[in-house]
Amino acid sequence: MTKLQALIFGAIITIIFLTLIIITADLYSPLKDFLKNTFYHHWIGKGILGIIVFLISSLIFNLIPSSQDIDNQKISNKLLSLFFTTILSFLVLTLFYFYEAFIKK
Amino acid sequence: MSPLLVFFLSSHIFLGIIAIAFFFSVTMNLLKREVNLFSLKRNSFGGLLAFILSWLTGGYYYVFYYGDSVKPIIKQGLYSWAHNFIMELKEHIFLYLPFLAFIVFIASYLMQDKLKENENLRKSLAMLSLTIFILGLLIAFMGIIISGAVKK
Amino acid sequence: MDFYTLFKISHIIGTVLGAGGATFAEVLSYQALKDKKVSEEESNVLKITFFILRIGLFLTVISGFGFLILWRLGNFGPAYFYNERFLSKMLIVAIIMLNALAMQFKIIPTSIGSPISLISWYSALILGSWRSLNISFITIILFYIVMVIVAYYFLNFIKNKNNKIST
Repeated sequence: MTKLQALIFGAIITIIFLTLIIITADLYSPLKDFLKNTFYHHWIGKGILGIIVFLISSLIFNLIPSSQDIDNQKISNKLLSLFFTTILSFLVLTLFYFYEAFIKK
Repeated sequence: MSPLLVFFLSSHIFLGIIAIAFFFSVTMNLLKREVNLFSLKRNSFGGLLAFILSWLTGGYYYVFYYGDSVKPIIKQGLYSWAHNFIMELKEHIFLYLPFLAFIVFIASYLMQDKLKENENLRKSLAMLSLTIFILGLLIAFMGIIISGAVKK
Repeated sequence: MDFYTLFKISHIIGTVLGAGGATFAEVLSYQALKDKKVSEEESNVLKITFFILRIGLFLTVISGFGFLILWRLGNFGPAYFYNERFLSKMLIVAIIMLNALAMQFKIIPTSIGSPISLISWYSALILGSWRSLNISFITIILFYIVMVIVAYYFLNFIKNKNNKIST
């Protein structure tokens, strides 16, 4: 896989990972406590883990053997996938916090 | 609030606005008939750097001051939703931005001439840059709402 | 010079450049389109006008956030931040930016984007200056929408008149 494709895939995985860890840490307090105890603050923990996930997943995708020629269409599709993943993750987080703040008793 | 915290809070806000302005410019540039590669690379790098610095300065203020000194005031007031909904959403969406900004920056560097030739590629990158701009703008407005809820 | 004065001066300069730029962009583009083609010189003048307009936008936004920092540090609270005139102004400034992008993305044509830009800049200027204005957010936004519609028909009328004269 080309470097750029691997990085875009890495970013997609990171956005999904961040969304999952944000929601899980809010619903499951031992995870939030773990993040606090390990990284001083849960927000710092999420940020650092996000960076680690991005680096590792990009490296793994970069090792997948394929043609090193840059295919414009493939890159364009992957950029759009990242765009849709971000929009969807944003909507999920918005609905989650809306539920937590206004609906949940 | 100590002078250091005032500096970090102000830097966080100004750097965030500068980053949003850079991605506004990147989006506009990508939609032009003749994309200016030099300006694209410079502005996407500027935007990435400004977001990272805004992340660090805002993070310092949030971790070392907001939780103990601002959050309780908001939660006890009439506008507790400003923390429970707006701040919770803002602090977490903010985590996405540096990764997205990095992709726009690295794609601008690695694709270069391909961006000039291929309209689909330019449009896809423009959509991503537009997302950064709109999320940045939303975060800025959320910041205004949160600040408004602080009244001693 | 204190920060308040610095932000105030920058805010005024930014609004003047923005509203002035939006006005001149309209005037110059109608002038340029009189002969139904934009010459290289006319195109360059328009580019400079749009550049100045964007500098105005940047100055307005950055100094506006400067004010907000001062409000926040003074713990001014909801009376300032949730003021309906202020919230309307914020929405209109966001519309200025989104409108510029929508025009560039070709989501909306220039015939609609131009009146939005023009009315938004003047609305922001009026809302910023008219401190004693005490009407609701909804009323301000409804009035703004009506003004955009009026400007749309007015600019179209001038454009058609221009076309008749040139033919």
